Amino acid sequence: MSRPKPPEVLSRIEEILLLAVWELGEEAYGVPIRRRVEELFGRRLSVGSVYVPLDRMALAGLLSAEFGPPTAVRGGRRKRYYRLTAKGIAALRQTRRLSRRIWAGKPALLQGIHSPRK
Amino acid sequence: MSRRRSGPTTQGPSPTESKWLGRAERLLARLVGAELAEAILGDLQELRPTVEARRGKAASWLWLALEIVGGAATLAAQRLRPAGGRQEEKQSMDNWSAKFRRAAAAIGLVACMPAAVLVTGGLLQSDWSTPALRSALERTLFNPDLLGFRVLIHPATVLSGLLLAAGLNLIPLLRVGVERRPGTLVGTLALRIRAAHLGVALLAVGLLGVILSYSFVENYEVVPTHVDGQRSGQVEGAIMSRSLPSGERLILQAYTFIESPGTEMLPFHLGDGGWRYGATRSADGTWHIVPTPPARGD
Repeated sequence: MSRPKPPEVLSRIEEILLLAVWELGEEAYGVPIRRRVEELFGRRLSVGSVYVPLDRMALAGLLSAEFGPPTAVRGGRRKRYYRLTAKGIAALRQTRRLSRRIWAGKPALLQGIHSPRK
Repeated sequence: MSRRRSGPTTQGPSPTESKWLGRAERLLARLVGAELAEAILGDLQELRPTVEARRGKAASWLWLALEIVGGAATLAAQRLRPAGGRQEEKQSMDNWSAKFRRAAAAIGLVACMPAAVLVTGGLLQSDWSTPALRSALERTLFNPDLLGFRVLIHPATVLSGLLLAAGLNLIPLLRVGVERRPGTLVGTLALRIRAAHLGVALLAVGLLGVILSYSFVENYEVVPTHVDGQRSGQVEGAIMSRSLPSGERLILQAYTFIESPGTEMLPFHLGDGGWRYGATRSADGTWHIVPTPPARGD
């Protein structure tokens, strides 16, 4: 019997996007997601840097995407709302675990000592 | 998602702006699909009033245009790039509509025409053609006084037309695949069968092959550089003429004889009844062309 496939490890932008979607809850669509990610990165991001990973993660099942109603302020265009799926949550947890393992045993680096231990 | 609230209702864009935005949406839809394009453009349009409040209307539209152009470039690049090495990405060389592909095939066919005319004209001018046809071609296609034909069969027109036709029609046929495996990157190139593009591409490549082969054969010349393993000297001359035994007159426009150790004369035949010609050097160092009659029984 084959072993179940472990949750995938996310890239940094994917991790931040998934966390932003979780934080925003019901209001997770392009504009606030992009705004939140720009706040975290501290710089402006291009359209493609946000929407392509979102779309890719929706295709991979880490996010679900659903259209809202059209609005006049958007020229009659609909918002695309994203929601974190169980697979997305598992991927976030897996990424967090990996991050902890990577950083484990390196307190000196966190304390500002840059040379490796002898 | 009925519990979600709609956005604030403000005055929408003017008809011109709507038309412009519609075009931008179609461009984005080609790159990322209609649904994502709608969401992206809606988001940008929603953000635009915020920019307008800070910087003015003109600046806000400029911002929107730059976002769309920059976004389109990034989206195109990201769709071509494999995502994080986790998956295989296959990408067609073209993202063209059926209408644009038909236009590409038609343009390619027209671009092949100068080369087709040149090759056909060349064949019809050969020895097995009729004198009337050859004469007609001399007066028209190969007449240097007729500018139109001169431009049509100019090498630049012919070659650029063939390259354009081949390029335009190979792009829709090719599919590039990139797969990232541990420690290596595997690329694949696949050919799709699309009859119109394949036909035009083969025509262009075939014509190019014929022209290049003809140029090679026509200008091919074997130039000896070594005689008897070692080159020790050579003599060159200009025009020389002699009467041949057959009564015809032989005119050598230019010649080069190569001297090799142990030999003063390097005979060559001209197909005039076995006569051979060679070079010999006199005591004062002057070189002469010397004809030798055919030996009896030759």
